Amino acid sequence: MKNHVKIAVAAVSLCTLGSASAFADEATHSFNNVIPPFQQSHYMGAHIRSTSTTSSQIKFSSISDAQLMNVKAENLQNNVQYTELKGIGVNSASQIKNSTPAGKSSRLIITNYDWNVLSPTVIGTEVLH
Amino acid sequence: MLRLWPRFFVTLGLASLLALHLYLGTENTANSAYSTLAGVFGEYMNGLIRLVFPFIVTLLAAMPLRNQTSENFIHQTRGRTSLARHLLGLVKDGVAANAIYFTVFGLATTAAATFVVPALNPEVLQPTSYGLTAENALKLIAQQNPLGFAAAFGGIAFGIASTAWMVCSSTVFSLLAFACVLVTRRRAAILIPLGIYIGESVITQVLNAPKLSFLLLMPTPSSMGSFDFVTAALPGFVASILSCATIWLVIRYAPKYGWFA
Repeated sequence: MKNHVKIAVAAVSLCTLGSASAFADEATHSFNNVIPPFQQSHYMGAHIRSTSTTSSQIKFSSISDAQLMNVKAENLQNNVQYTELKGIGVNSASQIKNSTPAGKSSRLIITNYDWNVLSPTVIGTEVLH
Repeated sequence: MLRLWPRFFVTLGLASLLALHLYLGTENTANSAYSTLAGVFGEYMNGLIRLVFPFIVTLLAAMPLRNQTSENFIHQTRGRTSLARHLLGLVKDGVAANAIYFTVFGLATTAAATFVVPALNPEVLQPTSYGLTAENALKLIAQQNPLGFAAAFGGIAFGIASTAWMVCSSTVFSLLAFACVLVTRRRAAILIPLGIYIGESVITQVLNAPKLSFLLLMPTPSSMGSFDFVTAALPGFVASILSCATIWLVIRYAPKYGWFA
């Protein structure tokens, strides 16, 4: 009987933790992407915004080849692109203007700061809210 | 009178290039934000000028020499003055023409980045959006740009430092262009510096050494994750040493082998 209780408690705990992490994943997304050369844009995955804040967040934990990045947000309902933040480096969270309303889908667009032949790999997290 | 027309068109072309550079740079800053004024200046310099820079420098520096070598004009002038003095005079004129043009170019860009852009777009500087204070943004740009140390003294100081770098870059490529024309003595020699500029940039970037590529160093150095002054100055220094050595060798051995004769 005691074992049954333990199993039940463990199952409930797993379900609770699982739903909590699923909730966190709704807004925060990790990425590991290769940015194309010659300042071609890399389009991140589209996500539906859960709140109507005026900014999204991006944080690069690693950018190869010592490159800097330009990032902007796009409202996929009307294809409006908001102010682009240029020359972003690693290890500080940057606020990207994003006025896409809650319930509408949006995405971030990353471009290399310099026009060159390199295809840097970028690793980090984005929070679209 | 006929000789005035090419000069008129060259001047008109250079003025048009500057106007286009300022227009496109201002246009690119319209829906953008930067952490410092150095970033705004960098936006202007990350445009058309990065690609056409070696061609403009060569046009200003080596066009007279190219015309003279292809028309055997040097041979005709040797009776009046020594070949060395004549060639060095052309080098001096070419370097001076580039220095004047790129001083105007750099100062005009500084004025646009420092005064025009903030007036048109008051939210252009947003260090807090980068998770930085204004002070920290200046410290960071000092690590990211070889001339970033000057940004601590203001946008104008950074612009002046960049203009000085631009003049040095134009001097390096003037010497390179002269060396190319002197060695080949062909009309097509005027395109060789452009080939060296693009070729060197592709090779260094493919070899994972983008900090040594001319494309990211000229006319002004771009910003990267970390970028120090000595590394940025190295390619230009080596190119100028090689170019000077080549010019000296040509002048030294031209009479012996009958070049320009």
